[in-house]
Amino acid sequence: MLRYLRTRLPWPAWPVALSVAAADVLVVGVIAVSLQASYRMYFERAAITARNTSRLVAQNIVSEIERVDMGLGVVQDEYERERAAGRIDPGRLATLLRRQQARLPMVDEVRIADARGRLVYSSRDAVPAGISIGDRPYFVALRDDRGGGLAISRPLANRVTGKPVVILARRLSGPDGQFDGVVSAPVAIEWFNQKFAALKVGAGGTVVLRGNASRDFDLLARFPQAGLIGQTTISPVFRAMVASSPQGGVYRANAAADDVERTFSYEAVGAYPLIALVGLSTEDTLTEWRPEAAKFGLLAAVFAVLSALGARFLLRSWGSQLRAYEEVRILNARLERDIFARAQAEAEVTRLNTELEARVQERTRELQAANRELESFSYSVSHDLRAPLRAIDGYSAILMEDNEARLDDEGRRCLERIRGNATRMGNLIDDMLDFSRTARREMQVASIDMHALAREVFDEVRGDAPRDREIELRLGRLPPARGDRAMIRQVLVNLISNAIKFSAPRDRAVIEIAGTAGGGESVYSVRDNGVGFDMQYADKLFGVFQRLHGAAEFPGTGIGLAIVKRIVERHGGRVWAESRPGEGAAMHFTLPSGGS
Amino acid sequence: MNRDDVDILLVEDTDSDAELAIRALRKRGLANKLVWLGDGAQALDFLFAEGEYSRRNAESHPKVILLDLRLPKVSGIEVLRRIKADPRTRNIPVVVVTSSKEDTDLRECYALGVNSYISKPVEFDEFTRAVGDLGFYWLLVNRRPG
Repeated sequence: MLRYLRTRLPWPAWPVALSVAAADVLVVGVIAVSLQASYRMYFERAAITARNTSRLVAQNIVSEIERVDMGLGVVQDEYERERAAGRIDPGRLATLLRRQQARLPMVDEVRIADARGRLVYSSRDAVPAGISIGDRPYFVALRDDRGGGLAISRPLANRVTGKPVVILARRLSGPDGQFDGVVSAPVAIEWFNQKFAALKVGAGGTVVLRGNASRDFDLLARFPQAGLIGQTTISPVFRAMVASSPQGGVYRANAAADDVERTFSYEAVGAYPLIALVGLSTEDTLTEWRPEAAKFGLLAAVFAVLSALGARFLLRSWGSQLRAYEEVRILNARLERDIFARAQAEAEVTRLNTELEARVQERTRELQAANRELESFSYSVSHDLRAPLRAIDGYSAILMEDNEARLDDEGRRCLERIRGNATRMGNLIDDMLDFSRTARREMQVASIDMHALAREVFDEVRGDAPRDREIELRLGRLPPARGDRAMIRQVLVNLISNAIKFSAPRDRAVIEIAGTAGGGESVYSVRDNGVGFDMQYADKLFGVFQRLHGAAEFPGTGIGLAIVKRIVERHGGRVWAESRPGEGAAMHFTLPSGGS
Repeated sequence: MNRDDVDILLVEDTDSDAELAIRALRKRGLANKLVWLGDGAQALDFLFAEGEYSRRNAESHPKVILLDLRLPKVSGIEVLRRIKADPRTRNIPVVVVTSSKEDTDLRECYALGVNSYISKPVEFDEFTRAVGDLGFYWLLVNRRPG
């Protein structure tokens, strides 16, 4: 069976979805990687900033402590020199203390306590009475440690002002090296805080000063202020970092104080047991990265959505294409079925045709055989039937001729009857042969000038009629016909001779021949003013040997109209008659229209 | 009768037709030298002086042959063909006198070179007149090369 359509199948949907997904993953991946890189970069930058800041803080604190220490050193030197000279000048000492305090803005007071811890000299105008620092750990440490050096206290509440302070102190020794007291300067935590506040660490940033491991990481100052001064809670990350790298390092952790994640950098504050920490909050670190990330994230999302929409659109259009293809396939199948059915029907028709043709050929052969038989039959008839008739007539004639004297009237009459009937039978045979020849003859179809033919036939037939008869021909314009000229001529001969024959009783016979053309055929009529006939016998008119008049009245065998009918019908035409007794008759026939 | 001096050769198998024809000719005084043969084979033997007529002079030809078409043994058409195909007999006038009115016979006879063709009328009077006329014409009116 034929294939009328070859449609390529559209791609299946899954590779499309897969490739779109792959593209999405790629794009999102690239964005994610670049975002992660920039994320890391921001944190590195934060770490560097934190590191630099923490170094700055550490150095700053070192130099501040050194300044204070220097001041304390000056006082220590002066005190020990006066002690060695055996004479303490309280006025000079107080002046010195005041001068030192004036030099050191971060210091509230510079003071001297005796070996028992009682404050004996102060930069302040009045030494507050009855205040002892003998119980302070830094005092105890300086008293028990002859090595000297700067002591930095844990954060304390100032016993004079009550404000939180860190006290920096040095040991004072007597001439023989015995403990003679301490010179100390309280530095307000507030001061650290102010210094820290000046640093740019961002909104979430923090600056912290703690003691180192030897001081158990006690909190000295913190900006912004949070947590309890002196507390020693630190994150395990920091503890671990410091353990492995005491001088400095960077880590990220959530501050215990406020639970904010930060990037911390810590730095040992010189040789002092202090650590400076700067923490930059992740929040601040990512302020720039976040919108960037959001932008790229949005971009990725938009891309994903767009590609998904595109894929969906593609799939949907493929879907409709698929449906269309499916429809086409169904229609195609239906068409194929139809065509197959039609081909079958055609094959059936062809088979039937072949059969029919074979049957027609068979029938034609039969007909041809029958025709040949009929031909030889009519040949025999024409030959063999007429010979006896001729003999009957001939011998009757001879009998009459040779025995005229011996025959009476009755005998002669009988012989005349015999001869008449023989003649009549001869005519019948001739007519019958004419009739059968009409059926058998092959037609030579051509255009016929009916007008000329009718005139010619009339003249001929008129010639056979008695000269003294008055016969008028009214010949209209006859349209041409198509047919066998000899046969149509026979039709006209028969009709016109009939018209002349049956109008014989009239003084003046009028034969009217007319014709009209239309619708592919021409209608002709031959009308006379003769005796006519009764229409109730009209059906007998065209039968073989059918006569409506006695032989004595009008001669004839009754074959003429039968021949007319047969010829006209062989041409595909019709023939009919109309008449009334005594009022003439009209014979009509149709023939195919002829060429111009 | 002298077989070598023949005016009319009548080839006709129907006795009554032959008798009527001979009577018609006799009435006109034309049947004195007439030979009547009943079939085609005899007619050919006679004309070519063969068989039964081998002692006949083949040079002597009838003045006219009246030939029926329906003949026993050898048909009238065949006889006509043989006469017209042979240079010795080609010039003998042959008149086909037949009951047949078939066009095919008429056409074939003319194609073979028949000199005349008449249909036998059933009416005795017409028959007599026709046969008498043709005998008169071919024997007395017509001239032919010696």
